[in-house]
Amino acid sequence: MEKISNEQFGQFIAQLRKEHNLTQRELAQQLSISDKAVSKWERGISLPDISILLPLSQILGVTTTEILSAKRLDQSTQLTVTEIDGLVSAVVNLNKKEPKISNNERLLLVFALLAVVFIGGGVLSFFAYNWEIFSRGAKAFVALLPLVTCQTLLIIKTKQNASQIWIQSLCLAVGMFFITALGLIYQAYQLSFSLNSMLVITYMLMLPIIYIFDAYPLAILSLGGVLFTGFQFAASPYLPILIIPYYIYKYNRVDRHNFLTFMLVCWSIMLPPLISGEYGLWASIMILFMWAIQEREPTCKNFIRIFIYASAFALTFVDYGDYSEMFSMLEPFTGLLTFIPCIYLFVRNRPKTTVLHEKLDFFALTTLLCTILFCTTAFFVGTPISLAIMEEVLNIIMSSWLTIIILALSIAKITLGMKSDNYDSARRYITVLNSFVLLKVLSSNASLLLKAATFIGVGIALLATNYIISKRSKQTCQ
Amino acid sequence: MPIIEKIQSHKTKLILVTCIAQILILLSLIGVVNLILVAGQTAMVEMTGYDPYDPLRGRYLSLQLKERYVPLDIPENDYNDYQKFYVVLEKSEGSLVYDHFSYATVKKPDNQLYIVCPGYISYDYDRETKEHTKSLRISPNLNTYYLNEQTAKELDKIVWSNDTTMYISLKILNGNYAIDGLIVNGQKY
Repeated sequence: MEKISNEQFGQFIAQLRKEHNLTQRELAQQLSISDKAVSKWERGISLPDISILLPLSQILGVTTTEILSAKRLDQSTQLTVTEIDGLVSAVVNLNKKEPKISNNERLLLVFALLAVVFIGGGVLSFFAYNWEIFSRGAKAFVALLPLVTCQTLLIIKTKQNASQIWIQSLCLAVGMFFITALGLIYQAYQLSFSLNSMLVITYMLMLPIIYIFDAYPLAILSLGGVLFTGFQFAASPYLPILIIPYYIYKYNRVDRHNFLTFMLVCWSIMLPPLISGEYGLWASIMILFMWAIQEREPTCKNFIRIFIYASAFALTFVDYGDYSEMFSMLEPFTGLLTFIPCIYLFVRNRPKTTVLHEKLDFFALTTLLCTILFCTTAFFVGTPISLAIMEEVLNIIMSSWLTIIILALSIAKITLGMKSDNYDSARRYITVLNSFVLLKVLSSNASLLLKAATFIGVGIALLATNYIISKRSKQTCQ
Repeated sequence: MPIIEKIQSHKTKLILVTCIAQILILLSLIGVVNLILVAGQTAMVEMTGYDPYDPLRGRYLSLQLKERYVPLDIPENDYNDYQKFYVVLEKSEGSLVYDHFSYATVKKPDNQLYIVCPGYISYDYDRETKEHTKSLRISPNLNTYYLNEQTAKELDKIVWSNDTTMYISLKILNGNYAIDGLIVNGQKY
């Protein structure tokens, strides 16, 4: 009996589906299953349940035997009972071998990726200190060494068909160490190119890796770099176009593409000349932050709501450019105009729940928005106090209140998450906490070495979190 | 088969090519600079500067040419907004090295040392002659000099002093240039 593989099975189903002019969604609807399931069959990640075989064969106009054999059979072909038994057991065995990616493994991957980013950033800052003891050649060697190591590991792990955690982490590491090498060579050889040009070069050279390995995290990082440049180059407004085929590919396969959608939306916002890259970036940061602290599914509806909050926030800082005269009369009320509807929307959509986690989210976001509303309005409306003092006072209020909210909320959520075995939540807030510490250190006047140490420390902390939570979840399972 | 799946079916070959391309691009950067440093002619241009910080590349001294405007030797309207200019260097009397920019042009100069760089045309009105004069504000990529944090902080204090002299040492080859060193008050960094 000829053995069939998951891939053959997937290709056969995809071929039949296309012959019937059906999309993955349409086929999934007819079978009352999720479109992700169909996508997984076609990619060879999983196989259909035995109970679906009959309706599936009817929809696709073939026999169950043909489905099981993953090929069309001659009408005259008569299979023996033994052969049919063999086919069924082959499919059952394939189903047993199916690599199921659990939520825990997905989170392991996310944390491993974050750890790679931070450790990479740490190594970068460490060498950016510019050690005088090294010659130019030695610095170039040091710059290339981590990149070549990661590239070699990536090639080896690809040949070994290693897990996605390995491959995706290594793809991201190649991106990180390429930009590190570029930065260090710029520094060692005293080249006067901007950070923006480095980001654009990295994006261009990472595109093949994104396409070859379906490297979604690397795609987000590279595209983020191009958006960060704020289109300083004549070509950079158009560079995100190069990632669109990959986006369509992800969309058609019903893979995760939410962050890529979000970044392409940011791109479309940044394109109009009225809003410069800087404010697009502001909006992105706010969306990411709100997304991070809201424990909700990243659905389209939630995305739009969060996007409205963030845009409202970004709008208060926009320089209206040529339209400044038109908007100048509105300026004192900008804070009120943007935040009152924003808070109204937020309160209207509040979670009607008794779950402590969700109540905490709501409390934190409301206090945060109210603080911003108060400070922005107070700043624009003005008081008898001089503007400089007012700005200073408001900065102190904002920064200390924000610090209290983030620290208290993160610690409460991590504790609650660990107690209730909600590791998803615990990890999410460990990320928020680490990011906050990073931002504080980065925005301070601390030395580059301390910043490098913080980066590496946060990377190691994330890996340690992975280890502790994996160990605890294994104990829970036992 | 969709194009991305075709690409993914040749993973090993393509990843090898991509990795080699990445390394080659980095090595070519080093190669070009080394070639200019070995084969180029030396010039020293006076600079001013201050000490900023870049999160990805560390501490550096931000430099600015002391004399940024050079006379422009071009026919009327023989240039566009994205024009690259040839900026010619000359030696001062008694100087052993090229030490100042003498003029800029759009035609490649013969038998003269020059760099290729972008610039902005500036118009000045001369009240005596009642004529507009043209000059070029040149913007060569000489605006960063990387140092370690301690040295950058020390130099930051020194460069603000009025009696500090700071020269950037360049190697120039066929209009391309590479920074060879920074000389502040006679000391090389």
